[in-house]
Amino acid sequence: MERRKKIMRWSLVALGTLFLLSIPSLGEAAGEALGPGDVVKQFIHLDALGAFYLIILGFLGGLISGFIGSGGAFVLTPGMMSLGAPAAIAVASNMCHKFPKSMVGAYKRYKYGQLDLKLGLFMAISAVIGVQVGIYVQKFIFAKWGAAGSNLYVSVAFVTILTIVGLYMLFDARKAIRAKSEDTTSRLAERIKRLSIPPMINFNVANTRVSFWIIVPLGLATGMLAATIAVGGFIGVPGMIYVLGVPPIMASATELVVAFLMGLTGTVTWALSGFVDIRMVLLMLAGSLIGVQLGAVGTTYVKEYMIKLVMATIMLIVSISRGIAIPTYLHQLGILQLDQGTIKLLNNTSFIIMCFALATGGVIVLGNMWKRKRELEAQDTVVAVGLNKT
Amino acid sequence: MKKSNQIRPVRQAILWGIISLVAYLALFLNQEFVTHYFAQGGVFAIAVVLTAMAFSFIHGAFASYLLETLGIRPLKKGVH
Repeated sequence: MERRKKIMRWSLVALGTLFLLSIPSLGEAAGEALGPGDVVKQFIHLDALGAFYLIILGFLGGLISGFIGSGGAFVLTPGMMSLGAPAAIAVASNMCHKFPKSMVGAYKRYKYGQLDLKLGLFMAISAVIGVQVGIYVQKFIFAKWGAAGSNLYVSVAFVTILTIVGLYMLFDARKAIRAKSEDTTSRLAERIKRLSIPPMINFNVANTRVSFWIIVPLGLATGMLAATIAVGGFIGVPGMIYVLGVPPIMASATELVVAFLMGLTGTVTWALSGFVDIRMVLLMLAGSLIGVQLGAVGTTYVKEYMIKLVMATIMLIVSISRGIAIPTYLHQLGILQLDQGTIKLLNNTSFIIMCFALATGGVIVLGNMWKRKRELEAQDTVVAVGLNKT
Repeated sequence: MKKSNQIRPVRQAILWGIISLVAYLALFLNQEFVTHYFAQGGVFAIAVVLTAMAFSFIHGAFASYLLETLGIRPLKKGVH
């Protein structure tokens, strides 16, 4: 018993030390490879249309975040850049927008009893360390093949991971729909629960007991993906569901803790150099703080598998969007020949499809909430009529 | 959403809506001043984090009351 405690203590100390060492360059965890030319500190002029655009993007991103635990970053950063913001400002402002949004979302979902704070902290701390590994890989690729090689790597990672995980989740959700059950159970998670490599950690809210050596690699993978494609949740949430056996609603709520810690540490590192445009942050928050709470309420209306369905749909549409961007990078690497008009068309199409992914997710969430509301109202009417008759 | 007889916090929604609007106006009417200092970095990083925190509290409270006023409330608690 004493030996187990000792192992646990030393594991936590090692994790804590690595976490502290990882913080200083966390601000680079953006998903976009920033070259020296991209780090420009120039604040854009914001007009009413631009402000409205940011509020709407924020609302949709918030709605999806509140529901599936992450998302939005893949649209918000390019969205700000399309208004003319330099890459570094867009990345920094996205980070600064992420932590208050996730904080409010996590608080709401904690109140609904869906959040395992302990699991969230373990995942978040290891994700922060994972970001460093991701940055290291990115830098290695950047040094070897330049910006186009780095972008190509990001896009290929995006398309491969999102297509595989997205399709798996979609089929899994379909299985639950066909069986007319709340959700499916993960066989892999059942097997992993039987692995008892010390230290073992109890998670009371998630009602599971998993080895430290399973959670930490999962958190690392989440962080690595966050550093590569800016949306770590696309690995974190499916990982918690299929590897740890956590219910989808709890996994998506717990992911908000990861987003909060990464957003906060990332904000501090960027803000120390003065790259955060607080005006864009607050405009996005104006929409996303409403969206994130609406998304959180939405999780109490739907069946468990809906989280998988929404996440899979968004992941698959986003992977198409990034797939469209691949020929541009092949052109930059000299592998393919394209004219400037085609490159511009491909880039614009890619961004529009990303916005479409977010909007589709929003429609599914709101549509299902509305449908459930109508069902409940109909039930209430039947009960009221029945009572009147008696 | 289903119980229409629940009290709707209309007053709180209006009050926090006004506070939120005032906070937004205060910042945007002085946007040059604010961005000038926040862009300096260093200790101003604390101001950036605190501003984001303050707005998340103010505007978050407004958003919460707004949704409740519109009758959007959680249906079931806990994981089922």
